[in-house]
Amino acid sequence: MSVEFQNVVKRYGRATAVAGISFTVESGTLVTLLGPSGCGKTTTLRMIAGLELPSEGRIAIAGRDVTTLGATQRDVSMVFQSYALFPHMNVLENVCYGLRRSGQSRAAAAKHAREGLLQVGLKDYEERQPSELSGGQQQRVAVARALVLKPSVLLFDEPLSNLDARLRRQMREEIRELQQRLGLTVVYVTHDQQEAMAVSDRIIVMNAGRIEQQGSPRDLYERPTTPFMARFMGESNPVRGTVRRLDPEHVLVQLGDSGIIVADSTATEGEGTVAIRPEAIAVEAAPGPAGALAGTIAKASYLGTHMEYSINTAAGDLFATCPWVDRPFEVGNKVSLVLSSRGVIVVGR
Amino acid sequence: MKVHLGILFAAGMMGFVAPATAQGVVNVYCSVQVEWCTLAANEFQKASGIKVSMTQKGSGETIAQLKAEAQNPKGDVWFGGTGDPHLQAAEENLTEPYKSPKMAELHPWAVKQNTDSGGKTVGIYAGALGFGFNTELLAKKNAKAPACWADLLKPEFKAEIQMANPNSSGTAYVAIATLVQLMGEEEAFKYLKKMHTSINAYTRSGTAPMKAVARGETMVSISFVHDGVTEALAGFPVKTATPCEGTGYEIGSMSLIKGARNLANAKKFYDWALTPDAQKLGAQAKQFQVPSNKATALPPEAPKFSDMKLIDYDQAKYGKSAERKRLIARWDSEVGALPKP
Amino acid sequence: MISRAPVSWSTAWSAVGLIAAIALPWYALQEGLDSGAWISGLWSSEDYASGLAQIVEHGKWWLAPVLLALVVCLGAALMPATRQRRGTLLLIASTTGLLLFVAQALGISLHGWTAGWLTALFGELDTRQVGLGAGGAVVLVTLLSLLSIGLALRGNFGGDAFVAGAATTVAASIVLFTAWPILRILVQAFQDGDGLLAPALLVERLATEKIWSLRCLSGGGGRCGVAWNTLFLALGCGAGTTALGLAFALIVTRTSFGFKKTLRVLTVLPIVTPPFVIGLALILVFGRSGLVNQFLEWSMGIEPTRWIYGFQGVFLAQLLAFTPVAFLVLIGVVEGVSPTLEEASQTLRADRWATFATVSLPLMRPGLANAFLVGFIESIADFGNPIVLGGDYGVLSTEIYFAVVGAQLDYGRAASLALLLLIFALGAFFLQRHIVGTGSYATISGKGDSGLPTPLPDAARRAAIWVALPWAAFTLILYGFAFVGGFVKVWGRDYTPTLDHYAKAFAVERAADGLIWTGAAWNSFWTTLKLAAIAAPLTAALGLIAAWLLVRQRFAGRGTLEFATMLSFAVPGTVIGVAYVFAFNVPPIEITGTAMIIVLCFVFRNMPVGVRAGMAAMSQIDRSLDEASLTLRGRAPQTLVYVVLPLLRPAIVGALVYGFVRAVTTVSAVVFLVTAEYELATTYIILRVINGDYGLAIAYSCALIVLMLVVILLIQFAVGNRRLGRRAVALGGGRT
Repeated sequence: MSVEFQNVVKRYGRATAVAGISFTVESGTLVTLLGPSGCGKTTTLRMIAGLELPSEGRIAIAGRDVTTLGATQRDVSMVFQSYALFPHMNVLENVCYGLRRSGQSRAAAAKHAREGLLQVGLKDYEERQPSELSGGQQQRVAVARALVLKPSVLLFDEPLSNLDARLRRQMREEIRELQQRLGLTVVYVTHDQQEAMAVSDRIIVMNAGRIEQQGSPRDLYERPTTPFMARFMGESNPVRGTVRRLDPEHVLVQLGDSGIIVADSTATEGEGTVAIRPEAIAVEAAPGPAGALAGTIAKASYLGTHMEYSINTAAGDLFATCPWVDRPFEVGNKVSLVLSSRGVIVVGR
Repeated sequence: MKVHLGILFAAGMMGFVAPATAQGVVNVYCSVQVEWCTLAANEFQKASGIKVSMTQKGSGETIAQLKAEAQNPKGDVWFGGTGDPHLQAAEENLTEPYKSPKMAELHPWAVKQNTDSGGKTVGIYAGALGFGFNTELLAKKNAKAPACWADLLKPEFKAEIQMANPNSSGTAYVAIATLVQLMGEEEAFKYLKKMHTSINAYTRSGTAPMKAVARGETMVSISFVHDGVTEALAGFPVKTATPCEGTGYEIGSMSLIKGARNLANAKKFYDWALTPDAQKLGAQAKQFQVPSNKATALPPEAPKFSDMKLIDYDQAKYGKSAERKRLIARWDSEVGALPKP
Repeated sequence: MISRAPVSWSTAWSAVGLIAAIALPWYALQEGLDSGAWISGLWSSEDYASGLAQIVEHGKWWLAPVLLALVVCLGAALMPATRQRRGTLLLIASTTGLLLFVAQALGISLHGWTAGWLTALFGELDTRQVGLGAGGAVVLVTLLSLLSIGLALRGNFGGDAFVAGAATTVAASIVLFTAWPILRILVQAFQDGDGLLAPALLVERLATEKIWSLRCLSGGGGRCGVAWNTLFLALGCGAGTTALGLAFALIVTRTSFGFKKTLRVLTVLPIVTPPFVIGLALILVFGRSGLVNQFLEWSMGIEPTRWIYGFQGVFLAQLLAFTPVAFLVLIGVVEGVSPTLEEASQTLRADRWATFATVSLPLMRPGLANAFLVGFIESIADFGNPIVLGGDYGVLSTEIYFAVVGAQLDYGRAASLALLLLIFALGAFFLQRHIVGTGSYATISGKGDSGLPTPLPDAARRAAIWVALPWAAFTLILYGFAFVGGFVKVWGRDYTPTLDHYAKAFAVERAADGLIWTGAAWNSFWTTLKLAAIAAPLTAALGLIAAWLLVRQRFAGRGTLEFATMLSFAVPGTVIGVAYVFAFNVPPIEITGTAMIIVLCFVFRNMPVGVRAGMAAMSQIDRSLDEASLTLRGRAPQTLVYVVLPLLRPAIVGALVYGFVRAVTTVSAVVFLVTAEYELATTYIILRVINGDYGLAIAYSCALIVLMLVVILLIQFAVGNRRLGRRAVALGGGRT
């Protein structure tokens, strides 16, 4: 039930949307294609669906070469960003549609469709028209419609982008829960990195038609390999620093006066870009311990669960979050910053 | 059982569909009025037992079709329509020479048409050119009906005359050719230029001016006079006159189409069409041209050649396409291009 | 299993082609297939022989490579291979087969080789080819199908054989029945009288005062050239019909105006009117002896004038005739504008007027551009109105007609002018493309739309009503007048009531064994009804499939195809008629004198409106709906049937109605195609008009109008409205 891309290229006339990508989606996993808009992730998804055929390369689904097959001939189904519910059919007819097209009798299709609607919690809505449903309900109909076909691969194209924040969290949990309960193979497209981290087994980050980096959410967050990745996966402060190798496993990163030892087996020596996660910066009243970075609070905001600070330092302006909200620092306070080595990443020269 | 019935039925149908033509067919392209065409088709079928497949089209459309079909003709005879296109078809080798045994019974102008064309066409009727006028409009304006070409230049007819545009109409060309033969070319064009101020429109179609007269849209038209009789019989206040200086005429013709599939039947139709029995059908269909067989009786309404002053119209010279092109081009640059009065 | 489907299709098609080559007569039969006489002569008779027999028994060796290509296709279909490889093989074999097919069909005709160099190359041919028959036609279709399957297997057309098949079918039929005849006649623009190439003649023919003079602008009675006349008229007609059509569409969809049904019928009237009727009615009302002038003279002593003849009259008649077409194009578009977007606009502090002007109207832009294009092209191709009302205001279409049938008989000139006309049509086409641009106008999306359509702003509503109602009244008066004409002795002169005209046309007598249709009109009436009924569904189907391909599929040559669909529409009927006779009177396709050529002429001449309406409507349906269906196992044809077509109902009704009505009312295109056996109502009416028998012509026209109205209601009833599930008041469609 896996999806396999080998050196797939998609061109529209002279423009290249996807510039030679290879990846594999293992059976029973949820893999997210993540990236800024225009990065080629939706084109990639549509090539899995068979809505676009690649200009070069090879695509296999469940071991079968489907490179030149159209959408209908592939065992996939898709939930669209706009849901694409047929406006001239009611909810049940919408869910039945794929079943009828696969050759099921009217009665069998209706039975399976009802099961599908039950699974997404829309038991009593069969007779409604799509226009009479809320956004979340329309979304669930779209999911049920795709799900009842028991496809080898289920595709989601930015499925939550039209929902409000609370519903978004709820729906993504439902999708994840459904995927794990039924053991589905899912490819999911989003531009929201939090959403990607919350639902995915694995994430493939795309940028400008290429794969920037792929791996588990934790890998990508903790070990971004490029400045783009460090910026794109969560927040980070890019600063310039000097790297010196201590042993095969560790390097010393020198930021202004302060140095910190970071576990890293690949970084090269010399000056380079270092990403510092905001939560890895412990903000303490000056003077702090030796080797700490001195700074001044430039902005402070209270967010209920934590504080956010902007701090001027010798290494540049840093953005930090701090869980202690009881006695916050105020603008102008002198502070001392202690970096935790887990949040300091050498991302390249 | 049902299947067998079906097969039986199908077999029966096939037998039914197979055409049975004992005497054969003849395909006629007919360029006179539709009633006349239908009458001719029915009468010939009765007389000969040959099935007539009749297609009615104007003479311009028919020669266009003959040209288009030249490689694989579908028609056998072309019946009726003004003479020039028939002469042109003869010139372009689209028609077949034939000498009918009836030739001796015809008026000289009909025979001349045959000899002029190298035997490829023959006259079946003739119609004189003249004026049509609306009697009610004349009375309202207190004007006297025009009787001569010269009358058309009178002030009371200013912007009251319609004639067709020779670029598109054979009738208008006959008028110009008539004037050229009557007055000489230079004088004729002087006359046409003077008459321009009296013309309110050069219509595209040759029959349109007479219809405009009938409906009171214009006072006078330059048309074939027999068309006026038809309008008058339909109840419109139309009368006609032929110019006192003399006038030209058209010769409605008939030709055998080159490469006809049913040549023998076509010849039978051709011979029949020249008999008095066939030629009286025109009047029955309310068309009042002069038939070409001398023995055909003329109805009282029909304009009679004996009452008119006819010129000796040189069909051979003025029917040639080169001469026609030249005269039309001259008309175009000297008359057609003049600003509206 | 799924992937094998196209493979087995290719096997089936190859087999069909081979069977046809063995068991059906290759050439056309004089007496038609249904006589059955050919069965016994399938091998031995040269006239009846199948393709195989022609090769083996009758020395037609040039057919052998074509059949060989079919055998190769069958081999490719049966052998084990990857999709890609099988596709490539099929593609190569079928393309070769097609090229050979076309080469032999064009190269060998009634008199052996068609060109001197062919004779020189292959030697004199003692045999000949007549028109293509059942066997040859099936083989041709087979090769085209195999070509599309090959393309689909290789991944073109989204890997879908149906889409590939639809595209090749549409493309091939347009090439065959539009491009080929038009090309054949346009070539004449570059030839002299003897058929020799003379490009300089084209310049000579076109660069004259008669065509390009602009003296009418300087006043003083000067006349403009026909090119300018045509252009001015077309621009006016395009703008006028679009504005009027929009006014009607807005009133019907966006106001609570009480007589919508009446208005709808009224807007349909002029399209179902046979030609010449509007022109004649206008003359009777506005002519020099018409009602208006008579009244003015009687009441105020104003001298009657002939103002109706010329630009004004033609313009008025064209507005009357073509506004309904614009209405049909626009109604679907106006209905399709998403209420939510209008509501969104209103919440953004836009009042109703601003909403209308900045949201609704721009959203209708593709529709407006389409309506303008249709009005423009209808106008330049119109023949009936200029001929009746033009006086000496010449336009290109009448000029072409008289160049073909008039005193000059100059095909070269006709072809040159036709070329000019085509260039105008092209210009309008590209202008339209430019206006519509590449913006997205999808307003029926896959998200349920729960907005209510915004009522028109007062000013717009008042404007629409004040424009549309007097126009409607005007139309009514004209029709009332024309209607009366069928019941009086002599129209415009003797107003004694009579039923004679109807009796003459439609008399039915009771005889011992049933009814005898003795009326003069019955023959042409039934023929017209039958041929139009065959043509209309074909027109609509082909038009909508073409629209679907053009809007929804991406493939090479799409722009060319779009242009080609518009081609036959832009060329005036007379030219099409002559072109058809030229192209189809000789082998390989020999169908003059049959009902088929009339039907084909109807279909390909009227298809463009179906295409335009379909494209306008389809550009409003979100593409993701199609895609959703595709990913839900709906193959392309099922997607078309279950998703696209139900949402396209207004466009389907439009295309069907238009296809039928135009088939009933067309004249100029079919004048050259009718025969005694297949006489059409319009040609019969025209002959009556020419003969001055207006009463009968009007009576017949009225009967036709009634017939067409009935058919339109039937179509509307059969196809129904689309259910969009918008709230009840939205469309009146609601849920059923």
